Amino acid sequence: MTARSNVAHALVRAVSRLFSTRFRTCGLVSKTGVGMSADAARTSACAKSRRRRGNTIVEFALLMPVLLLLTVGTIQFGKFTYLYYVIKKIEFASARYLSVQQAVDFCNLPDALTAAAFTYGLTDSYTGNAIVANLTADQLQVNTFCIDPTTGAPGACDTSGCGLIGAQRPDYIQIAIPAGYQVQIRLPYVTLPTFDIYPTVTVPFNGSAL
Amino acid sequence: MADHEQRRSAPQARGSVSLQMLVVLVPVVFGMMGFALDLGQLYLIRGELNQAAIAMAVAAAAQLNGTGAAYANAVNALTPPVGAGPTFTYNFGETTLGATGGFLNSTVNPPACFADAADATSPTGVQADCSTSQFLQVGITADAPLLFWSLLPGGQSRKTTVAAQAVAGVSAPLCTACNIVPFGVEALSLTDLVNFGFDPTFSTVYTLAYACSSPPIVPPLGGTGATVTYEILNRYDTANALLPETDQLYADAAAGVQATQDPTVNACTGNASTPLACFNVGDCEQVWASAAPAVCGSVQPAVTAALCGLYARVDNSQTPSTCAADVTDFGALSATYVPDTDNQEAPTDPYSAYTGNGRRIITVPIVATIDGVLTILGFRQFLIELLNTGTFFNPADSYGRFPALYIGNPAPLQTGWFDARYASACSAYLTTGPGKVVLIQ
Repeated sequence: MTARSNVAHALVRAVSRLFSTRFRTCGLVSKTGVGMSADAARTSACAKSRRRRGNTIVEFALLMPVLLLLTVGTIQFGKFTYLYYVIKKIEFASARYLSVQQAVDFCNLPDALTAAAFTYGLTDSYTGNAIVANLTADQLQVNTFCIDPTTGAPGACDTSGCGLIGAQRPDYIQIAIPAGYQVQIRLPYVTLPTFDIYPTVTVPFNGSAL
Repeated sequence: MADHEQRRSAPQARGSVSLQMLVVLVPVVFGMMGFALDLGQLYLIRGELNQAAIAMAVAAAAQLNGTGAAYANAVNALTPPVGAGPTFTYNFGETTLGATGGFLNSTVNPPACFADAADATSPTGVQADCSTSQFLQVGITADAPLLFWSLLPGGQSRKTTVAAQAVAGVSAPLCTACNIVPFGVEALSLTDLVNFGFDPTFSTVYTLAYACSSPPIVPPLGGTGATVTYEILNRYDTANALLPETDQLYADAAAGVQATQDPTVNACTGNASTPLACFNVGDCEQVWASAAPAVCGSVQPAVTAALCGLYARVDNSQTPSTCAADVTDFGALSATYVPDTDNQEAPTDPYSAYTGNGRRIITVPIVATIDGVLTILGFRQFLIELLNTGTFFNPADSYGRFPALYIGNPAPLQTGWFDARYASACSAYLTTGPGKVVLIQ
């Protein structure tokens, strides 16, 4: 709310400054004149140009919000595209990490290895900070797919062995955000509803299952 | 006078300049925004396509097992409608990859196979036959929507084509192989480091028989070339409270040594942190205690339990009743392991004619007793065959025999390491052996 009124204030201040400097310039020009008749002519010309300039400024002031909206919209769209890809990249990094691990406990997900994979994907290895704000390991989920031996098509894995020999070793793992990641597009003067994105990544599983 | 005119015209000129600037700037500003939006989306789509290409290339390269069916299997691992694999999406997850007939169409090209990594990554690389190749490239072309560029000449179709590709292949020979069958097969020759004395033409079916301590000599199975002995290497996970020993033997043979978080049970290993399910080249091994070689013709029940697991790779309909008696949780376990899709092939067929899903291929450590120490020389693969009578082998055989075709090392393994992580200095001298699927590019 305060940010928005600040922007409005800044806009008003900028426009009024624009007016005052233009007027001052015109006045300065009239003062340096020599003859009386020429001075009168100059004054009328000044008034005409002042009017014209005023029109330009009003047009500019009308156009300004549109341009601002377009600029901010472009930035926001870029930010959203970037965010979507970064989340997808986080999932991909986690999935590739998990896909080469030994003894993943697919009966009791998330296990220690999936937790390590999520931390690996979510954390900037250089600074140790989270790459995306508000995205935590408990929002991510590992889904498993097993190839049907006859058709070759992926389907649900057999978990009947859980408690004895463990779940069937998956052929593909998928990392998803089942509840979605909430995105808010921010534009000046407009409050847009939030929406959820559901990036998912599927990779072949080359590790071993517990 | 000139001075006067200049002064009069100055404000007017300034006004017209700003109008002209507006006329010029609006397309420029719009163009820049268009660049920003469209380029952003194009990069996103390219990234999404890259991830899908990587996933498909890794999945397809795992099918390159040196048989005539390798190409068809690799294609089958791709996304529909080309193959039967998982579906991928792009354009913010809105468009399904491989879909045609809509506004945005995409094509997954059939995989191109290459003999080596240099060919696979070079734009002028020569393609090879998939039945002998170990490297594969998956290429995708997909339509990406254009928002602003559609106003420019050349963009009237409101879309453009984005391409992505990935190369995956088989790695260097593995020094540490995991989840393989723990049957230590005795090498026929210590000087032949490529095939260890086994038939280099891959056309000999051997009788694999359990090692035994005294004569009579093991009679070979009908139609086989020579008898090769094996022992079961110890991977008995005593910390596993759920699976009794016979269950573990069954599962280890049926699906490779089961992964566990417990450390290795191999007391003489060079690296105690080796995962229990893994074997190191050059490492010393011990025979599974309850499967120790006995008098010839009377294998231990533990060997029968393991052979029942091996039998699950070829059949689950005619399992001898011995298995149910020998394996504690036979009912629950046997339901989990399905047999190979190609289990009726004649034993005289060459390996290249094999069309199954790899269940009949077993990767085993090749061992030799050097200076009194049972040592792993490398890993090689065998294809379990039918008997020459056209029936499945008998897991209750008193000699522990089964027929297997020596095939070298064509099929990539699922897991393992090709560096010296667990097998010290192995990567420096190991030149032949099965690898695992790795992403090349």
